[in-house]
Formats: sequence, C-alpha cells, structure tokens
Amino acid sequence: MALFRDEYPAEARIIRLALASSFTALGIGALFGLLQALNRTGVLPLISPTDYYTALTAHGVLLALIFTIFFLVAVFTWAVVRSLERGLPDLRLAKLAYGLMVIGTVTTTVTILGGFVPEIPMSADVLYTMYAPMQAHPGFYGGLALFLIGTWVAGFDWFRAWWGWRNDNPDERIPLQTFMVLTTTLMWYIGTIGLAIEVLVFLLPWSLGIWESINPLLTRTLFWYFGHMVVYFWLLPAYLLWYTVMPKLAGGRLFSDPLARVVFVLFLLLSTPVGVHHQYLDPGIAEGFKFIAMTNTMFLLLPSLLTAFTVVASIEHGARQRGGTGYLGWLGALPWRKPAFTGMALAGILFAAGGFSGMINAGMNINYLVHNTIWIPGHFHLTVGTAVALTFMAGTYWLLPQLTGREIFSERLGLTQVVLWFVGMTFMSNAMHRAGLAGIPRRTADPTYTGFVFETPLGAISELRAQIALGGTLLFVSAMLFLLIVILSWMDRGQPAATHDPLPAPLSGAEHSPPILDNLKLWTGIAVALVILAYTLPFVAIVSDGGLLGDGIRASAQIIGPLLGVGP
Amino acid sequence: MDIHRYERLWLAGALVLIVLFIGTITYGAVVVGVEMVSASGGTIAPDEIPNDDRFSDPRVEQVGENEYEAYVIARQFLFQPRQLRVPEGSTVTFYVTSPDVLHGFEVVGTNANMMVIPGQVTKATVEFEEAGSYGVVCNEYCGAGHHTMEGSIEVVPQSEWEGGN
Amino acid sequence: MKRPSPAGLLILVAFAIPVLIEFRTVLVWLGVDVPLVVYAPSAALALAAVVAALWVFGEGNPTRA
Repeated sequence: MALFRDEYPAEARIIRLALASSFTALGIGALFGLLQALNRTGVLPLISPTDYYTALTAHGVLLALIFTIFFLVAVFTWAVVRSLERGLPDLRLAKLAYGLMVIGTVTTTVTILGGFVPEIPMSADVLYTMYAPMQAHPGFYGGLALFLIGTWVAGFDWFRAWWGWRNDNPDERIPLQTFMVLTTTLMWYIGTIGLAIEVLVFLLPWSLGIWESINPLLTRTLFWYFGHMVVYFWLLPAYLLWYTVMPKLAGGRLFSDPLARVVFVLFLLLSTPVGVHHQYLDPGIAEGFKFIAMTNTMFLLLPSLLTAFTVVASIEHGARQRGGTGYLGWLGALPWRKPAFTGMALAGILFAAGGFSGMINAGMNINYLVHNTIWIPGHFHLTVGTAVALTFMAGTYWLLPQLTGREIFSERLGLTQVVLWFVGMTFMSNAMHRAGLAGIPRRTADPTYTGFVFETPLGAISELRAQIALGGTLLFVSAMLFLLIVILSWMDRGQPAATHDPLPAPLSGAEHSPPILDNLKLWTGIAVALVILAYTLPFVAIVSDGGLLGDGIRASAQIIGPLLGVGP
Repeated sequence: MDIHRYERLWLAGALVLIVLFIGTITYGAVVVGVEMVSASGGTIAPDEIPNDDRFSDPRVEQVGENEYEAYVIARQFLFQPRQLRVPEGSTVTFYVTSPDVLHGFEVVGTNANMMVIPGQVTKATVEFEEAGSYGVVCNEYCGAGHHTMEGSIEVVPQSEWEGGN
Repeated sequence: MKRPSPAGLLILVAFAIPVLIEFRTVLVWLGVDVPLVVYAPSAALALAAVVAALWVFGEGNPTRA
C-alpha cells in the first residue's frame, strides 16, 4: 500500500494546511501562556495587568478553539479518507470549510490583539467565555461565527464521504474511524446550536447596537449548553488516536471495536445535557436542574472509564506481542523510545488525574470549594492541556511522516519534548490545584490582595506561585521544541523517506458489535431528546424571569481607548 | 456482544463508583443540608437597584435571634459594603446583585462562593460558626481592575458584638 | 536487575517527579514539615542517586526497543 500522501495527495495537502494553522495557533497561544504564568505569579511581570486580560483572551481562544479544532479537522479528514479508502467526494467543500475557519480565526484574533494597542479602538478583552454584559468588538463575534460555520461545512463533507461509500457498500458496518468521526460531528451539530444562537441572535447584533439590552444569564446558559460538549469535541480526536493508532504503536491491536463504538455513542448522548454543571453557583437556575446536570455528568464518567480499560488492555496486548511478561513487567516491553507512543501514554496518565479532579468539579455541592479558583485551570490543563494537546503532539510524530513522506527530524528530541511537557504540566497543574484549594482565584492578573492572606496547609503561597511559573516555563519550552521539530521535519533535512504504516484490525472487530450501534439516526434522536429534557425548563424559566433581552442591562464594552459609539 | 470478563468487572466497578459519587452528593444535599444557589433570590433590573429597600443601602441587618441578612452590591471593582460585620454563631442570608457585569463572591478559605449576575439576585445562606477575619474575593473576571476587587467579613466574637454594623 | 534503557530512565525520572512533589504532602500528614529549600535538593539528590545506581549496577546492555 502507498503512503497516504501519495494515495490521496489533494486531501493530504488540505490536512497539512489544517495542521499548519493548528500549530501556528499553538505557538502564539503558548507564548501568551508563558507571559501569563510569569505575570500572575509575580515572578517576572512583563505585561501590564490590563494586557494580561488581553493575553488571557488570546490564550484561551487560540488554544482551546483554534489549535484544537484545526487539528481535529486534520485528523478527522485523514481518518475518514483512510478508513473509507476513498478520497473526499468534493474537495471544494473541504477548501471552503478551511477557508471559512481561517478567515474567522484571523478576524477574531485581530480584534483580540487590538487590545494591546490602545490607539486602536478595537479590542475583545472578554476572555474565551465572552460573558455578557462585557462586550467585544463585533469582529470578535463575527469571526467566531465564520469559524463555526466552517466547522459545520467540514462535518458535512465527512458525511458526504460516508454517504458515497455507503452507496457502494450498503451492507457493511461503518468503519470504526469513520464511525468515530460521524458520531463526534453529530455531537458537534447538536451542541453548537447553543453557541450559534448566543452569537448570531444575541451577542453579534448587540455588539452592533441592534439590541440595547441583553439577558446575561440567558447568554451564559447558551454558552454552557455548548461549553461542556466542546471539551469532548477536543477529547474525541485524542480518543480516536488512542483507540486506533496507539495500540499499533504499542505493537498490538485494539482490544475491542464494539466497546469503542459504545463509548462514542455515549458521548453523543450525554455531552450536551450536562452543561449546567458549569453553573452550579448561578442564581436564576433552580437546584433541581443542577441536580439533573450532576447525575448526567457522573454518568458521563462511564465512557472515559471504559476508554481507560480498553486503551490499557490494548497496550498490554501490544507489550506482550513484543515479548513482555509478568503482571507488571510487560510495561518495560513498550516502545518508550518512540515519542508518539510515550507522549500518548503520558497524556493518558495525566488525563486520569484530570478526570479525578473533574469528578470533584462535577460534585454539585463540593463545587463550592473550587468554583472559579485556580483549581479549575489546574483541572483543564490536565484534560485539554495534556490529554488532548500532548496526544495531538504525539500523534503528529506518527501522522506527519504519512502526510509529508519524510520521517521526523529527531526521535530523541521528540521524546525529550513530550517528557518535558509531562514534567512541566505536573509542576504547574499540581500547584494550581493546591492554590485553588487555598482560595486563589482564576483569571486574575496578579492576585495579591491587601486585606487578607491566602493560607495553605503545606508550605507557603510563594512556593506555589514559583511552582506555577516553573511549570509554565517548562511547558513553553516544550511547545517551542515541538514546533521546531515539526518545522525541521516538514522541511527536507535529509531524513529518510517515510514508509506506509498501516493500522491493524482490532482483536474483537466490528462483526462482534450489535448493528444497532451503527444506527446514527436512533442515537441522534435520543441525544436530542435528552437535550430537550435537560434544557427546556431552565431556558423557559430564564426567559420568563429575566426577559429575552434582559431589563435595561447595558453593555460594558471591553475597549481600551476612545469608545466609538459602541457600548454604554 | 462479546465482552471480556475483566471488562465486565471494570464496567460494574465503574457503575458502582458513579452511583457512589451520586450518593455522596445527594447525602450532602439532603442530609448535611448544603443548598445550592437557586432562583429563589428573584430578579432585579439594574435600574431598580437604587430604589430597592435592600440595595439602596447595602448593609447587614438582624432579622432574628441569631439570624441576619446581608445586602451586598458587587460592582466594578468593589463590594458594597466593603466590610461586613456579623457575630460568631450567626446564620447570614446574603442577597447579592450587580448593576454592571458578572462578578463572583467568594469567602476565601471557605465554601461560601457564589456568582453574581446583573438582573438576578443571588440568595445564599451561610453559617458563621467561628470568629475571625475572612477575605472576600471577586473570582469572576469583571474587567481591567478585576484583580483589585476584594472585601472582607469580620466574624466578631459574641462577647464583642453589640449589634453594630 | 537489568539496566533500564536511557528512554526508560527518562520515563522513570518523569514519573518520579509528581510522586516526590506529593510525598512532601504525605510527610505533612505524618507531622513532618520539611521546608521546600531543604526538600527540593534532597529529593533531587535522592532521585539522581537511584538513577545512577540503576545505571551503574544494572546488568548487561539495555535491550533495543
């Protein structure tokens, strides 16, 4: 079989473009992350507090949305084409999707970066969550809308690919990778409804002066309707790599195809109706809805716990194929020298830690202790920041050669890079969790207050601050090292040519999984029903209590410099 | 569907864990009695704030033997009143709102933590069992001065409390 | 025991770091309060000693993975 790049050159080109965009966002976002870590710990303040919030907005948007979703588009396009063994039916759709995403990204990013230049009356210091009544420049919302529409087009393209394949293969099971892509895309369509309404119906017209007032609880609830589902949009491409590529890297095969399908169906069903768990401490939402969100969230643990089993089982199988023996001795037979494998393994380990801290967050009345403290970034840097980001980087070490035809520049450097990320994240996230328990808030430029001191049961606050700065610095170095390796690998630096690296069939294949799992219409119907059950009453209550557009709640424009007719 | 024995065990274990977690939270809610912030505080338009009995004069008011109500406004970038005084052993129901943007109200080192949303009144009841001095932090980003926004709660020993505010 | 490969040692060091960080917390639970300025160098030294011992006293060449 031929290399992917040679078999599907046009698709490979689009995938490479998506990766390039993804990594550009990673680089810029990582730089802001470093500045933040140095600033808010007092170790080396290089930017003013106001610029801190600009940097934080850029960091959140570029990393949590742009880096992740461009990478998803790359991986999913590769996975669909590869598993269906056919090219995309119409490349123009893929190009349109990519183009919309790029234009949207640039528009939004420019408005955010405008916050660094006071002379320009354009900024968006509203952070990634963009809560009203804080208001950004209309371009911020418009760019986001374009980006979102681009993702919808990309998803449609993958469905078209599948429909074409299904016409020619009417009785066959959906290939596993395509199944994962389709279920994730359906989850995305359902979950982005909230964001689309929030931005297109409320925030964008409001920023253009069409609405004079807004209901902040309504827009916030619409955001969080989207906001939990999006973490699975980040996570499921990583799961795709863990399920379908990592077993191969470990020298073995996926333990169970049917369970993989079950996991993805569970995410389709449960990702959206849990959003209220980000609003446990909100007024205007009754406790009953919060309780329902809590129980739904706890059940959402199930697919991730199942994934842990399948991934470890698959890796153990691989290790034993490589000659590993004993209860634990087989761990030594794994290919730890390969950064693709090691990165994913380390990512999985930190994900377990992140999952546990997530269970705390999900614990409705326990959430009081951690809400909006720096524990929360501690948690999500383990999940999106490691399970997702580190897996993406590790996956790149395996996938990039298939797309460029050249091996990675240096495996040793790659191994150093992934280990450095693990170590940096350990320091930073550990300190963030402990600092959060002391009550130190998140999203705060330099939390040194005058009227009281934060207390920890162990050590001094200054130690925790130093630990965060240390971890953040190591992470930045690791990110830059990753980019360096990618750039050197992409260029022809005399590396050997890459060879096609096929993925083996699972131990328990699709033929063992009940056909009902492939009934996407059924699962979509149930998912929609669950969303309606979870969200109808809360939305009705919010709108009837506070009004669709609020009652005289005016914009607080986050614009530095002269206001130009936008805002109060 | 063929599920390996170990996987069935793991699945059962996972479900037990999930049910245990739900049980723990339910115990906290029903037996220990930790209530969540809810819609019971009602709504208030920002323009109504200066005319409202509670918020036109932010203060702590005694409403029962050991019961108090605290009316607080969170705004960019301060709390009104900046310092609250309550006696040790009291139960205080907070009513908090904002005329401008989202804020947080977190009593540092405790689990008294709530969101403040313009248009809504956040109602939360807190038991202050121990005397001491507590910081209050705004933990929801509210603009350029967010990191300076703080308040405090003085929980005064019974012996020193004279009903003063 | 067999000498671990360089990659294996790297992973060992990486895993040891979170364990060592939180071991200080465990010590606090047992009533032992070690200031960071003492703990950090001690832990680093201990870890380096373990790595050196594995490298020097491990048998044979590391297996090529």
